[in-house]
Amino acid sequence: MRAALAVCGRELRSQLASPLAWTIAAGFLVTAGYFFFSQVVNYAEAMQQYEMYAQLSQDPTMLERFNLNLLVEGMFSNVLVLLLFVVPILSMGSVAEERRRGTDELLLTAPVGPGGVVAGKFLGLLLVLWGMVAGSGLFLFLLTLHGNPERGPIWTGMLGLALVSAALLAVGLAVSAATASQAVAGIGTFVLSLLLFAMAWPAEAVGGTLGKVLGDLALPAHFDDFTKGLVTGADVAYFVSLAALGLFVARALLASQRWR
Amino acid sequence: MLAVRSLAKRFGDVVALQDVSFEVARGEIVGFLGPNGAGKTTTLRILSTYLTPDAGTATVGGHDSAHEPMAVRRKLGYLPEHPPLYLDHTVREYLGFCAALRGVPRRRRAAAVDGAVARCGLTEVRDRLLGNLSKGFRQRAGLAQALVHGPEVLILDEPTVGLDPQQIREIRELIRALAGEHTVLLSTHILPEVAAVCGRVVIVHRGRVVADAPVTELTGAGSLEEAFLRVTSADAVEGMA
Repeated sequence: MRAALAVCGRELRSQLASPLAWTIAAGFLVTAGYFFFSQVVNYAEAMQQYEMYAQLSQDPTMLERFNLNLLVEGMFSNVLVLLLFVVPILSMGSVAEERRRGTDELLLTAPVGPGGVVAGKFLGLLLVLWGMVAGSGLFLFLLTLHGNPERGPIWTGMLGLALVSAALLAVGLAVSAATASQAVAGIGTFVLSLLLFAMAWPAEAVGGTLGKVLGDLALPAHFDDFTKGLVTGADVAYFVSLAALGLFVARALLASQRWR
Repeated sequence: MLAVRSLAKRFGDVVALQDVSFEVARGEIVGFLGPNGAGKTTTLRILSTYLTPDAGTATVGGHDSAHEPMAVRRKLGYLPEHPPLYLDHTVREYLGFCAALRGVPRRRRAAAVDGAVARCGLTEVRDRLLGNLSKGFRQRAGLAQALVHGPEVLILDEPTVGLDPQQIREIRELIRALAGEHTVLLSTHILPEVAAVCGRVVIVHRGRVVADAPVTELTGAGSLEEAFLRVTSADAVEGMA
């Protein structure tokens, strides 16, 4: 436990001193900010048109379906897509780089065990990732200063992002544990994440049990509920299972290394 | 304290170890010699639990390194062939992390780090980044990492590589001072080093032990160098990594 926390603290220290982590954070926040800007101006434009239609058609109920929650939902979907790029870059070096530097020999001969190494690294990187995600909450905070969106979906959406981050990071850790090359780890994680995003695309056409399975395995559908203010056991279980699977595979790969 | 019995290990088609057996008693300093590629590093990696053997056993304090790795790790200090350094850490940060990783309680950590820093001659660079240090200091930081938690057994893979003669002498004296309270197995291919610090020598060649005797016995007939060449030149020396 103490040793795993030491691994976590060391990872955090390295990340905070690393230009890579700060570059990712800056890129993430700048892009998220631009998405936010474009959504706000598009929202304002659409708002004007709706007002015009409502006046022309003498139907004020048209405006009732139009509110800031749409913008909040859109913002969360955008940040979700950004995570697809951010997580692989952040996680690619996690184990692969230890191997290349030879520091895995230090970690794996210390009384911490492969499970402790994986847990420590995961926690350290997750804190960095959560920091970035929390930073993107700034934009929604600005929205609450100048408008009045429902607060519920904002909180549940942030919870959803936290869960997605953990799940994708665990996948990235597992891929990184399979190689000594950062580039291979990064690309592998990106491809796996992309597949998780696109899993449901052919679901309807495939149909049957397979179609249903593909639909259920897709990541975005499980996230969408969170952006609507809905926290369901199934969605939480999906992300927790994905994270657990990733960590399990990462641990198994590290543990088996000495037997090869 | 250390016992290696009939160790064998191959990597694909390359046979690294065929049949390696030797023992190291408590408090002893044993030199582990051999040409490059003889199987020194592989043997030490098996003892340190980083690898497992294909056949045979390696035990540390009675614990099997393959099947009771955690018990072995608790007894060990280990300097791998390439010092496992985090170059974005200062010497003290790094050693603090190593101490925590090895289970040194928080309140004793600062003292353990200061002790290792002083013993390994790192005082003047203790707050500098490892990435900015010379090879000699990096090697010493690697050695400090192996000592910081006061382990019973030290396994050192070429501890004096990259050091200048003055530093080599300091490290030798340090290792000699460890005798008695620590058990040390140290690999090297620098022969005077062995004569200077070790009580006994194990020589491996092509994955087999070809000599195992007190230094005085091996050097009785001439220099250690002659003895080394005699036992390792039975056939041409071809390295394997």
